[in-house]
Amino acid sequence: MSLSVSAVDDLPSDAAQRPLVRAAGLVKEFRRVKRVSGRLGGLRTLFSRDYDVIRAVNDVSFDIHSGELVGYLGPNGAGKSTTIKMLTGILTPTAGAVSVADRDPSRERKANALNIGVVFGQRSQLWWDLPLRESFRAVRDLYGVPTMEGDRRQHELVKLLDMDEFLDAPVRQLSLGQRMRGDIAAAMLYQPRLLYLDEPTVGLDVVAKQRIREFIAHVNAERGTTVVLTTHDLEDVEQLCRRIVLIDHGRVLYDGALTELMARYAPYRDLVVTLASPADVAVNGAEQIGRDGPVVTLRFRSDRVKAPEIIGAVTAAHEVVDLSVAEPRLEAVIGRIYTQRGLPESPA
Amino acid sequence: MTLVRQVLSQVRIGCLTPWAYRASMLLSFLVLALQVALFSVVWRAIYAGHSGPVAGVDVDTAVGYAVLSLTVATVLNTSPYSSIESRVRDGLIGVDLTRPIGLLTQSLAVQAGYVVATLPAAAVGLGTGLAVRGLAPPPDVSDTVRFAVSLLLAFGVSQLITLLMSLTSFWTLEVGGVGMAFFVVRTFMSGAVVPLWFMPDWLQAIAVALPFQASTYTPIAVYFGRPPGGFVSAVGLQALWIVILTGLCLWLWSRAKHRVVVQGG
Repeated sequence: MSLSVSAVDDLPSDAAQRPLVRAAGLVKEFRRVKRVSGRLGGLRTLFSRDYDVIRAVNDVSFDIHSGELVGYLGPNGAGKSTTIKMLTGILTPTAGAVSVADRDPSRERKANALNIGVVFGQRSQLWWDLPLRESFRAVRDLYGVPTMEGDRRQHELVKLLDMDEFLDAPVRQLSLGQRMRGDIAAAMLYQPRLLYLDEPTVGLDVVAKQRIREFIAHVNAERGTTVVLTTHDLEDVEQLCRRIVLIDHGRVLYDGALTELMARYAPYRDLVVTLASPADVAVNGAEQIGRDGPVVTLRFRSDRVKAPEIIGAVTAAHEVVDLSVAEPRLEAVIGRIYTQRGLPESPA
Repeated sequence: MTLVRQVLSQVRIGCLTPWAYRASMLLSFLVLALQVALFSVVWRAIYAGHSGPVAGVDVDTAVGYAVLSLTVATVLNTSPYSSIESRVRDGLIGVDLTRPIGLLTQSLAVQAGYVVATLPAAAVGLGTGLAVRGLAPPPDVSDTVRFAVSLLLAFGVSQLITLLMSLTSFWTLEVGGVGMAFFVVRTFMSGAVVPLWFMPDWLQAIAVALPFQASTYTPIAVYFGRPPGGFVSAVGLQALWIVILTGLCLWLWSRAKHRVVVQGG
């Protein structure tokens, strides 16, 4: 009986369930030539044989299934970009295995390229000196999009991202927000199964950010495009990602649902009350964590006490002018993880 | 079919990009016209002090050589602004590697586009040459055909030299001035400024051992009916350089692939 069960697990009927992206024990080391200083340092560095070995990614494993929208987070230098570069085939892993749609990205770089869209917020895939329209044309040619199909998709993307007015402007003249829209559109023209977004909202204003977020949510929901999002803007993550993978020092610290991370490391709410006359507030089940004149902040475990109970207790003891309940911010949790360079003790 | 479409799209990019800087393109044409006119003046002045040919070359050939060599070098020996070198420096090479086309194919296609974009320079150079009465048509049709064959091979050699040079930027990113030094060596050793036949023997020997002359000097020497070592061996040498340079490019790229450094990020 147990034999047949394990046999069923191995059957190819499983194929549909197989993850789109699979990283297993990924390691990437860089050899950095030690710089030679002094006269002709640059030239001598060229012939130097002294290396420092830097391990940027250290045993990273995760699976990503079709249709997921995953936030890949970590502080600067955590190894995020290096991981993404291995997934895109730009870098070859030092050890471990990576597959995207059952292909080894670095061995089958060109075939893999057709499956993936890559958008770097800090770099553009568009042709800088030419009108945006030319970049779209070149992308369609490079990825072999049939003419009619390409026209239809381009038209749709131009409408969706409101790019009509700058389609004929050289890319170098576009604002950052316009350029980002152009970059993301270029990546979606050939409808890749997987879209990597590396800091797509960096440097954008509030409106431009929101527009990009809405578009990402749209392609994920409507097209079923799998999205891996790397960002330092945690509002991107709060609005878009159900799952996050958190890494630091090249290791995975957390991989799971966003809500679970919050429940585990920030299972509290803050009640902010403005009192008629300044006073300290002592209520069962809540702790006063701050007071600024008549404004008192109380923190309580939302999994143990209900907000109305705390509010009831406060209003029974004090005259309350105003009150609000604040959700914990992901920023506070992530900030704590980054500074401790590890997962905090669960406050349970 | 797919590959043709991919390559043509990159040729188009290479062709449109320099024309995004129209003023700079037109200025380079003007510079070419000036150079052609000045060289013709200078050669005539030099020959005025001599009676008869120098190094077996008469004044008309010397001036004609200058007209052709400056024109050919301007069109063929381009240095694309968006070469691998600048893309490595800006970290954009990472973007190129996410494309479903090989880096060498892509680069060569873009370079070829630059050559196409620079073609009007041929009309400018030759037009100026005719205006200063510095150029005579080749003696007969078979000479014209020979010139065309050698010019086509020169195109291959020059594009591979450009590609090879930009591939070295994977290693020489930190060394300043390499590009400039290369430009000087290439311009001089290709015979774009001074024909090889005016060079002292030892310098000629060096120039002949390098690939640069196959990209400019050879087709023009063919044009004037004095191909080095005869037409067949001159053209054979060009073909040999294409094979060697292709091999070098492939080898360098395979080495570079192992140590692709994407700057920053």
